[in-house]
Amino acid sequence: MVSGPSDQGNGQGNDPHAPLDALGKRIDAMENRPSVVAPKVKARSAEDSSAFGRAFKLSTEFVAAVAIGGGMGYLGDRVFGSGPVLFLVFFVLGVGAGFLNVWRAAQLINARAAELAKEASADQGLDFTCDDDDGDDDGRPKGRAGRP
Amino acid sequence: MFQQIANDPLHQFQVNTILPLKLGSWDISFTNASLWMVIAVLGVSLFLTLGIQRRALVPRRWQLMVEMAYEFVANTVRSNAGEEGMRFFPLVFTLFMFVLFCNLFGMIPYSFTVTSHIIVTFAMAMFVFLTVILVGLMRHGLRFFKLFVPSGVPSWILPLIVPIELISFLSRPVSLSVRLFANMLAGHTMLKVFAGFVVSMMAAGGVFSVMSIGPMLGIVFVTGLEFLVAFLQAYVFAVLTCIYLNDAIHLHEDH
Amino acid sequence: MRALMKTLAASTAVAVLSALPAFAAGGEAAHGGEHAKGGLPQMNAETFPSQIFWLVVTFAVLYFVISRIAAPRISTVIEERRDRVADDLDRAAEFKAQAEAAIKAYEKAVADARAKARAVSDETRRKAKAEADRRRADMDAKLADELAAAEARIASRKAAVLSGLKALAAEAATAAVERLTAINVAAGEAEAAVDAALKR
Repeated sequence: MVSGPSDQGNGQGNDPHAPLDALGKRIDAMENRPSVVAPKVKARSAEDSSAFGRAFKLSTEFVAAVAIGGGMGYLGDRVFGSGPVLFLVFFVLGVGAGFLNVWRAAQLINARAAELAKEASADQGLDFTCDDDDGDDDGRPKGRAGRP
Repeated sequence: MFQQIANDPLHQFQVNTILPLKLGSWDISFTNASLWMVIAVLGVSLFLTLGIQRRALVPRRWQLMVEMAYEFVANTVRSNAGEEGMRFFPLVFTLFMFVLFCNLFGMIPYSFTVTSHIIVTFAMAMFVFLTVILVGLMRHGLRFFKLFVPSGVPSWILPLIVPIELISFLSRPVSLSVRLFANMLAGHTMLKVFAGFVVSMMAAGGVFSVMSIGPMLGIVFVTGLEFLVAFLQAYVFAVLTCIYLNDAIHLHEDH
Repeated sequence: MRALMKTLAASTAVAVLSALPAFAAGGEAAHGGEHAKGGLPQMNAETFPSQIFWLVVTFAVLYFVISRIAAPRISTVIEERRDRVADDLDRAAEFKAQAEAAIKAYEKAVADARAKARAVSDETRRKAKAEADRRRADMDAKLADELAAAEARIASRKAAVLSGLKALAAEAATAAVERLTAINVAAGEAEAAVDAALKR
């Protein structure tokens, strides 16, 4: 803040501004760090970023959709007595939905991993303001970006 | 002997009645599962309320853990469901803490893992699922069903897309519950299998008791892994709840 | 908000509970074949009502504890700390501004003092130089006077000596001529001759 030309030239080497500038930097740093506990949360998350993807179990996403599709078809066949027609149709649709699920989960994992990597590289703590980190200021995350 | 080992790992999932109760025609007996649910609730309640009791300006370790959990979930909700999603913070926080504590308490020997039962995880997933539908209908009325009609898709392809989106939507509670259940089942089974090996090898004595160091290292490794899984599964459950709530609050990207 | 959550919780609890028999029946039908004693305990639908009932009860209690007691307390503590830290930072910034003002004032005072000192020293130097110049001029004048006086004295002394010498030479010349030639030379002639000889 004070950048006055210190032209006193009185030979007493230490600039009285130096400690104040350092203090100013520390105040700015503290103001930009919203929480005392945030960095620890971040460190924990960054460490787990690779495990996050594994925890997701993409196979579950797929199988769940196929099961729901097949189940819907089976019930439809039971109600309408239409043999295996609806079952087959909905099974195929379930496979489609399964791929959709897997694709969306992969999107989410990628977004999350990117976020975690960014947080890990940035030296500041987690941002607890309402910033959604994707720069469009809509308060929404990018995890759900990109629908088909 | 091996038959006994094979049976042992699943025995931990057995539900045993402690106090028989009836509600109408339903059997609502207090079981070991109920007991561990109560223990988890007590654990979470004590952890959160006693940890924050001192209200210290500079938190000690316990209070720091409580605040970390709080801020972690708050941040998850805010970044995944936006500021409006913060209305559901208590719900997500409850889900996260309950699942986390059930997962962690399940690692105690001779305890019971509440979340290793599909009916429990499915009930929680259905609770989230129905909450999402209710919130969506209350906020957007019938426009909520536009969730199944992605914008910018040619109309001739809609008869294909809408059922797929519908199935995908309906599969949410299934994948949500099966993921948690399967992880807990697999992890805790593995833990008990190793433990069974150690016990029976020790019992066999001689060379076997020396060799039991192998499964013991396995237990150490799997236990470490299970701590991570316990946390991550609770986290994934919370994140997905937030994302589903976000769908209900904001529908598509266009409001 | 609380009302909404209450309705939500109540309605979903009712929904799950009412869906329970259907699910249990479905589960039993689907897994009827493998429902032997050795199967997964998880598939034993007899335990489902109890599990769901106690899940609903415990979860409701936990939701109440967290939403009414724990979460408000934690958020209060965190907010208080955040406010306190913000206040402290504001005060630190204020103190910093004060310190900066003090440093500025100090620097100004130092600069002023230095300028004043320089002015004083310049003035002193100027005065000293003027005084020295004046003294030197005085001294020069005095020396010049003394020199002039001395020169005048020497000149007069020299003239006197010269004239004395002339008279002595004329007298000596007169005496010598008288002795050699017995001619009495007039005093004026002898002096004129000495002058002429001196001039040669």
